[in-house]
Amino acid sequence: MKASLLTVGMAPHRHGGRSAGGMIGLTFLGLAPVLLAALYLYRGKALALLLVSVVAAVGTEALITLIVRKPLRSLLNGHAALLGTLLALLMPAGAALWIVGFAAALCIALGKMVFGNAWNYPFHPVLVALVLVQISWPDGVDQHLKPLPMLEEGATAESATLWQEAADPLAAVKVLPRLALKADVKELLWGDHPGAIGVTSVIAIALGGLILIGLRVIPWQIPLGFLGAAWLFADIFHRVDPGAYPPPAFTLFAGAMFFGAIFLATEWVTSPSTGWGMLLFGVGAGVLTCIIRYWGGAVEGVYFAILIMNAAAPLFDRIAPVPFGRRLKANA
Amino acid sequence: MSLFASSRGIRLPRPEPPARSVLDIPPPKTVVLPMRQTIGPPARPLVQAGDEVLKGQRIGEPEDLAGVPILATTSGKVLAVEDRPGPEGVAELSVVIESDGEDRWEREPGTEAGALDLSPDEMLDRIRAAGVINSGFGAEPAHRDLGTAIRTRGYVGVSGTPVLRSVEHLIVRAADVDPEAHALEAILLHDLEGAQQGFEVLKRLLGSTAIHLVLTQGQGRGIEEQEIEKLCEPLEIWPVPARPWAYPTLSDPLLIRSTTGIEVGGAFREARDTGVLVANIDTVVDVGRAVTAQQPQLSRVLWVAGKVRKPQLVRVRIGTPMRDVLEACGGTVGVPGAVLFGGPMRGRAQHDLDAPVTRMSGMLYVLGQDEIVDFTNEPCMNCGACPRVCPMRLQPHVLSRLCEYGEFEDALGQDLLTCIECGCCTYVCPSRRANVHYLLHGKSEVMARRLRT
Repeated sequence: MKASLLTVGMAPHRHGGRSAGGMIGLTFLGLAPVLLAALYLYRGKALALLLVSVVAAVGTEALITLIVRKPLRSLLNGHAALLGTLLALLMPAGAALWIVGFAAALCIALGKMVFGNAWNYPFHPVLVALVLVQISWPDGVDQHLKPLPMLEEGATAESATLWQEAADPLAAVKVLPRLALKADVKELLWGDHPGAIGVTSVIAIALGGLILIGLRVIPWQIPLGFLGAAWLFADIFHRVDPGAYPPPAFTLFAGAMFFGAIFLATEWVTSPSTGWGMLLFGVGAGVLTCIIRYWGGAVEGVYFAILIMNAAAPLFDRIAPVPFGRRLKANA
Repeated sequence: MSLFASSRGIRLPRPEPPARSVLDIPPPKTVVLPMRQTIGPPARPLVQAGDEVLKGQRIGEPEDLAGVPILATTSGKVLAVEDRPGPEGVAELSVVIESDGEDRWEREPGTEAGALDLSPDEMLDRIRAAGVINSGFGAEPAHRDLGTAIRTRGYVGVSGTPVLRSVEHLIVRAADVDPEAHALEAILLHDLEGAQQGFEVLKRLLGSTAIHLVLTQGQGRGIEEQEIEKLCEPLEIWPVPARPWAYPTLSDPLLIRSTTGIEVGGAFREARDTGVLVANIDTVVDVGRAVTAQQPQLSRVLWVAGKVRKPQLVRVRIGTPMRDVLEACGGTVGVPGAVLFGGPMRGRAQHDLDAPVTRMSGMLYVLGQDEIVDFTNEPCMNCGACPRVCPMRLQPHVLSRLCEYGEFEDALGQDLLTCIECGCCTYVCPSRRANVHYLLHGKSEVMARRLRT
């Protein structure tokens, strides 16, 4: 028996089986309803966006990995593909494909790889890229198209006129706040309105979020804090002046609020990891989103709000529970 | 209780034991007795190569009163006094005895009437002479645990005999911390008489102490309820139901909290400072036998599991090489990948099957080669899984990074020493980081620096 060598290692000698690649795979599972909704709403246009973005993201990561002479194995966890997918879902169907490709490359290069390919980036790479291209080419990425089913089956006359002028409901309401009162909540929930391809179908996003929370891939605290705070904030202001501020349902279901709360703010690296920290992180992002939407220059506040909270995430990590046995009085 | 603390720890599979009967393994031809079988300095050998020894004879003398003597577990001739592979993975000075197969006692143990009327100090002396240590990971000599607890509180005379009032709660564990082990529940099941005796002795020794007995229950598979009632009622023992699959609820700090509500954590406050003592049921049995019959602790009940042909409970003479134990269980299934003293979550991997079973061991676990986990130590992705499961409410991902980069003082400031090394953070880590390894490294560095200054 001397011949067979025994493995010597530290306890524990068991592992639960989770891996980074597995977590990313599960995230794709949570994204599945959203992807299906995007493909249903925008068909070929959505497919083209997704393909360009994913290929550009994975290609950029591969290229940089080669340049810095690291093993290409690190691509196998699918993180670049995930970032590419998320980026595509945040693009409107009419966005120029070269801009999307450029954004995906930017997302990987500037958002992720410059910090080392080691989960060290301070800001969500997708949002970094998205905000950069939105500022650089506002016309190129603001091409919000109407979803195909809406054009084909003919939406109600009211909603057709409602969003005719503007790129999406948020933009319309920015110009004319009263429009929000006329918005059809059901339409907002299903995604039958112009917007980025992945963010409009609130029902698909909520379903994906429930899957991810159930599988413990994302915490429940961040989405709850985010959406709860935004709802409360919007409700208060709507009660104060219904003409100037949209009703809470509109604030929550229009734009990228749900997508941001479930798929962007919960990103592991850029969010806190303690229970109360995550809840307050979500609350901060939700309130900031409303502030930017109501009084800021940008139409959509979600992206800036999450980026700002990303910067503050290390502070929220300090809201940690008191370790076991350190509550001195309880032991007296 | 915090809103976020509800589901800390992890749930582990708990395979049913094939049988709860205990197999007595015949004493081996040679026994290897390391001089270090408890925490603290090793004992000094009293014999030389060529000496004849008898079973139960004292062959190692501890450095001070806090240690326990090492006793010969069989009669025969001393082959050598030399360094041999020990259960901690390093070589230990050991006495190697070749058995003469006769098992001649130096002094045959026998039950004495009136042992319960001995003074506490006499009881402690007997416990010490029998070499009883608190089994499990603390591995402290039992007489020291009991003695310290008694002496810090002083005497209270009750009904003429000097009884010592001391420990307010004695928590006795009759269910293993490791969900896969069944050794402790089997010991209680098979030796209710011994347990009763042990509890009686402890009651005398500790005075008016509340005794909590932690048990597994369920569907007649565990310990029969009537038997438990018969054991518990006359002795006023409080049975506490255990949830062994919820790991690590049966570890000392969590057990203390769930039975008494007291949170004792960190290296600075020990459980006995707050009047709580945790012991395993086999220690209770051994203490009872040591006091009433002056029977030394010469064997251990081991739960042998994993990739062995016949997983079962075995009673093993201390000093038996692991190899013999595995052979008695039908050998391993295939080529073993790792052999652990202890369960898969906290066991120590052995590199040499010649390492002997000591008083500290409670489980022998064989992992197949395909079961070896490769902890690749990828960078932390801050997913938040480990703080969610840490039963000590620590931030293992932060501590593990601090210790990885040598920032031990920072880690100390973030309650590094509160860690109980349960392994939950490592079990759930998607980046396969060896968190426990880093934290242990940090702890040892911190301790080394303290000793230096």
